[in-house]
Amino acid sequence: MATREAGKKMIMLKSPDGMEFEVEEAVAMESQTIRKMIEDDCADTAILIPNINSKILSRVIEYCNKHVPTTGATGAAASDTVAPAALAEDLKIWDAEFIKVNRATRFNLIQAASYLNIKGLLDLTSQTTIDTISDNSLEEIRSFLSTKNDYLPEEEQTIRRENQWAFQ
Amino acid sequence: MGQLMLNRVISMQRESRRLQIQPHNGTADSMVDRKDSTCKQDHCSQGGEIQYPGPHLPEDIWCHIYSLLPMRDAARAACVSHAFKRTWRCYPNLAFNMITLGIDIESCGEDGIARNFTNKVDHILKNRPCIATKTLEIVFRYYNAKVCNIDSWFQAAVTPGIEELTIELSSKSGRYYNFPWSLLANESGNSIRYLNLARCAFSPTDELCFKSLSRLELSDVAITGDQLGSILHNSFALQRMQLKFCNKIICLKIPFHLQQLRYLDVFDGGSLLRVIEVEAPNLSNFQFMGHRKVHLSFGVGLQFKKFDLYFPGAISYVCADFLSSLRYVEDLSLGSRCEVYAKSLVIFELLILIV
Repeated sequence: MATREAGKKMIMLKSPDGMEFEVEEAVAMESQTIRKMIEDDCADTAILIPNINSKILSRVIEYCNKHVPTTGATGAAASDTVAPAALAEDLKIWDAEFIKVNRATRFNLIQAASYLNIKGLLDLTSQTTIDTISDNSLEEIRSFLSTKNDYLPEEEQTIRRENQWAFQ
Repeated sequence: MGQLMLNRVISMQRESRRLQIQPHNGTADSMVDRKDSTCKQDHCSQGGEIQYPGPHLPEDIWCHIYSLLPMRDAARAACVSHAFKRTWRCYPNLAFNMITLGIDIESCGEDGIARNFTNKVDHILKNRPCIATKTLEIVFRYYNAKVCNIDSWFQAAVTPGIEELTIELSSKSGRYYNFPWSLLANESGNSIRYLNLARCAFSPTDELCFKSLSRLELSDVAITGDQLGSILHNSFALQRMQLKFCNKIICLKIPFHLQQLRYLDVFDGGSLLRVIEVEAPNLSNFQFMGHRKVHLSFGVGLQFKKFDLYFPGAISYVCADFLSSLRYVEDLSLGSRCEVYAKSLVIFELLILIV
């Protein structure tokens, strides 16, 4: 299903819920997984992306569109006239807005970034989780990550004693 | 074709996951080894299904995220649940310094600090299964050879696949810690990408092979020029090197086979260094600071982008010998105390170069 529009090679991505997304090859190749498929000549038809629903896939494509370094994409990355520092600042602001999503969406994005091997997106989506663990109490971490305290009292006492140095 | 493509995607995603679970800049193999050797054993020993945090976040992705946490936060978070504890057991980045170990400099004298530091490191390593370390940092200015079990720390924590090693100790007692280089004369040496040693000694060992080493920093290390040569012998991937106050070096040779080397910084605080001979063909950033003039020798055609030189007589030396290597320089800095240089034409040429 590879087509050409305005001289740019296009790739069709399909989500398991039947949605199709036509994206520039350069944008799709922000994913190292898809890049490898294209380079191995396995991408001449629509590429089915299992496990990533259309809502998440569209967000991933939005991210790749913004971050693709060539002049073909939309957004500020396309401009040759913007200074690199300004461009980086613009991307940082954009990223901060992009990641303002609910927890379920963020975890889905983490999984999608990992499956599709998009390092920048994985780092961005993971950072909130890292910050939360670093900045909050154990109870708050449990609440944020929907994790139960499954320690028996004596087990918890043991691990707390073992890692006492990290609380001092 | 559709099914084939699906299989391909799934297969590639599996491959992608293997790649993703590695800590950044790491090798996939080291992560897989770690998981195979430790996480699964630990998992089995728990005898039950571990629920990883978040909605359906797979274990490998979770391990990756956890590996990005600072060590102190990672250790604290081990108390959240069994899943966290299990991931903590696999945590690959060890950083032993006063801050991560929460040691208050005011609370106990120097001996007390050394004992406290030692007890904590011993305790952490004792509770850590023998798993692969990716980065190891030991920064301890109160190092005391009588108190610290540093050899045993290295035995436990320098494992095959290690990528970054930072050791900064004290030499207050006048003796340098004799770093066990033999630990790196095997697979561990092959995987090292970043090596940063301060106030250690070099002990001759079997041939070292640092084939992945891209950055080397030695500060106040008792090492001769020949010994440094044995480190550089196989370091084909080296991109940056910094030598600070390695005052036993008389002749510093940067050999031709270091094709990747772009940055060389040398700070000399002694009186022995006489010659710096650079044959590496792609060096573009050079800095030297010292109290005495040294003889510099650069390979034919070498062109610098950044060139900083500070020693008595540096200006006249550069004007006389190195103008041709500074044709494309973007950042030039020369420092020379009390130097009077009369050849204004050459200075003019130098200024044109700078402009």
